[in-house]
Amino acid sequence: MIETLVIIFCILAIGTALTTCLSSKIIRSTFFFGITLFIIAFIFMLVGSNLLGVIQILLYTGGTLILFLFSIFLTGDWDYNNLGETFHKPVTAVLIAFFFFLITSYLISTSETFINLETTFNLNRVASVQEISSSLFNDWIFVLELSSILLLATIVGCLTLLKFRKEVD
Amino acid sequence: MFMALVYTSLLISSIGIFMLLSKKHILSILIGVELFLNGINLLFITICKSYSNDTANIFILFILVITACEVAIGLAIFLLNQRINRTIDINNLNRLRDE
Repeated sequence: MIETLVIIFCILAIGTALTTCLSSKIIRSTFFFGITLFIIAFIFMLVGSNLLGVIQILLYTGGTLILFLFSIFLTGDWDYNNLGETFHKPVTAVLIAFFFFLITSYLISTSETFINLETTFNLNRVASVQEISSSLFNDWIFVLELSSILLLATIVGCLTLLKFRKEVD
Repeated sequence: MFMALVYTSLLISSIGIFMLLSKKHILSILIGVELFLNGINLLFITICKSYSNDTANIFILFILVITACEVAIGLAIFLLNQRINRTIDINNLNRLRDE
């Protein structure tokens, strides 16, 4: 039952990601991007990483997606017709993406490590929140502090960039 | 099942790369980066299911933090470019240096 659901959600994720890419309008593309993120969060939950699924929904659809929508609304008076629909050098981009997929697929399908990983794959193992938090606050505390400094630097950087408005106007 | 998840993540990453390279709109490029990183996250979680520890979950948490920072800075640059250059074209970003 869960395996069927995972496969259905995988197909849906690929479909919505393709629609995100090929949508003619940026607002439509953003909404399909949100749906893709929701579906990936559901896949996370189905494979037993409930914490990550919840964080994905909260951080992306509650944070990043709203940021995208606000940016679109703040620049809503701009004519998007010349940029939203067009592709810049699409053949080169398709070739690079295709070769990336081909090379990584080949490496994964021929790798001994991945063949061994496939045999030990266990869908029913649920990630324990206690184990994750214990590891995060003991083994990875330095990286956690670094990421908090990074977030602080981002806030300062965004404020510095957008402070430029008064000088320009 | 394992291979289905792996190929899904690779396909989503490839679509992200295509979007990153082919679009001219800054928001579309940022969405492409997000798609790419989400595909990588899915690959991490799939591989994590084959091991007995949950280190991949922690890596994904850090990737999410970095992604949030990247999007915030990217959108700030996008708004700045739109205010100064009156354009949303990625090719005009180098004009910000002169301001």
